[in-house]
Amino acid sequence: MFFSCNTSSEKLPILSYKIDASGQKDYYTITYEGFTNQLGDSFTTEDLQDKICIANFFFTRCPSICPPMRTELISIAEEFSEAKNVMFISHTIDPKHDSIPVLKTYAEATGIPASKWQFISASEEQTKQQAASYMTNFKPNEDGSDFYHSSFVALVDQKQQIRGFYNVLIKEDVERLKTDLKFILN
Amino acid sequence: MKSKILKYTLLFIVLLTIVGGIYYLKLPNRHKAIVKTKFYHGLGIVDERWNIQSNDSSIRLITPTLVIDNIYKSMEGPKVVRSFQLNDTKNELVWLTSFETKALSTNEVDQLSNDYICHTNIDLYEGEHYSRWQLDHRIGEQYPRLTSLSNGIERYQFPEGFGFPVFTNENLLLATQSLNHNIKGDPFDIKHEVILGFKPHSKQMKPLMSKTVFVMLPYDSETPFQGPTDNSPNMCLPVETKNHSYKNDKGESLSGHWVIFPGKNTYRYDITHQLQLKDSTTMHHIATHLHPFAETLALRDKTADSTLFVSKAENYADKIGLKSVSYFSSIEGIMLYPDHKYELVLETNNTTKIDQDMMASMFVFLYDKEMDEKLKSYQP
Repeated sequence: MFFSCNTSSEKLPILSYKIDASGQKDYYTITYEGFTNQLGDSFTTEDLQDKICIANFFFTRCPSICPPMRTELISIAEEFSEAKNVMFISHTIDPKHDSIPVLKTYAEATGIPASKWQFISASEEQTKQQAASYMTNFKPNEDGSDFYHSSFVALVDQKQQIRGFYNVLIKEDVERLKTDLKFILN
Repeated sequence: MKSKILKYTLLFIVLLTIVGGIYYLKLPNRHKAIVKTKFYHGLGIVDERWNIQSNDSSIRLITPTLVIDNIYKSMEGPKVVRSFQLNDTKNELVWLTSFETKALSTNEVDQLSNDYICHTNIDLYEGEHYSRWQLDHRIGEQYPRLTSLSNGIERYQFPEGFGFPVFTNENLLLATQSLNHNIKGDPFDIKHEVILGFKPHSKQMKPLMSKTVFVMLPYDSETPFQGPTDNSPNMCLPVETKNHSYKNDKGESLSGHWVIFPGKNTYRYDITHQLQLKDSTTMHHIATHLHPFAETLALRDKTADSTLFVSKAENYADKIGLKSVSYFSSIEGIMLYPDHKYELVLETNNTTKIDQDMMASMFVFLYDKEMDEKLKSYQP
């Protein structure tokens, strides 16, 4: 029997788990500690309360995937501008260069209010731990021109559980993200 | 006032069309195909929808229509890319065991010649894949290609009892590109059909990991397209310097897609660093990607001075294209050792009177002991 797929979000399984040494799924939630946003305010787990988040990792000098990702995320943020509990979180992977003023300038250029899109920074170690929570990582390329980082964003529900990963450089994935976001909103 | 606005608007449109036209005409064939495909799909001139069906043992993806309106050599033809899940409503562990790609008519039923398949690549979203298993050190370690099917090797399955474990809702990336070495004349439409076979989880299955190894040749980055000279008789000419270009530890430029001149040639490349072997393990499957005019691609153990496998390419006699490319598949496998050196040896024979292009890759599947230990304790 055939069934179609990739067209609906009847069910979005929880993806924020690691398979532990005993082979069990060990579920966890996304938490924040030690992060600061583009306004210089601390960003903590409390800021996620009742929010549905779209999270990614980037850096402002990125010559490769970040600019088209940013364009796509701006478009999604505009489309969901009326959904007050939808928030975007962009973690810089280059905290040494991406100071708070740099993040502020970068954030303002998106035209999206800071309440809607948080650009946050922490130490490299904390950011790596956060990336692991989001099931990704990053590392500088050997020639120093770029970082290995992902073009996927994570969708996090109101209970701080990951419900999906989406490659925002692919049109169909952006549509899937919007569908899934609406599913969680409803 | 209105007529002035109209006049300047028309002038602007004419200028834009001229500039755009000049820009388009200067694009290489590959980039023209990208522009045209976006145009055809964006305006709905041809079918831009994907048809995806899955069941408990396979997923079938039929692409949007690809318009073949020109000669498209390897890596040049219209292509489409999308991510997909085997079943996004479930989170069950399954084992990928077989891969197939075909060219179809736009009625999605009639099969066409596989001469219209350049390659079909399947990639992982490595973060999601490895993080679940707490194998974070593998994220970003190498390009996350699971496998590739290409002209001459359009289907294969892993040896019995072996597979690649994925969860049904994991993101996989499909990129499939068309090819047309021979047919000139009126444009025609095709689609690609890609089928992945999978099995339910079983503790008896053994996991494979994919490693991509490929021939890269050094080129002069200052004058990349200048032909061989007396001082540099073996210099490689890259097809282009943007894609498939790499730097080695010494900062030298290398290309994985290069020009071959008429006649026979042999290319060697040490792939030890691409294999990245940390422990001894067994190799159970090899899928080879070659371009027309390749004759053989051998995987050699340099340390033991032995040939482990020779992939043989059969070229058509009456047209350009690969009729078949042999692949390796073995339950017993061949041992590979971390302290051995390995190389690829490519034999080519360009039987035409003009330059052609070449790539030579092997998608090598090794027994994944680290993953096997995780899977043995996995409790669905």
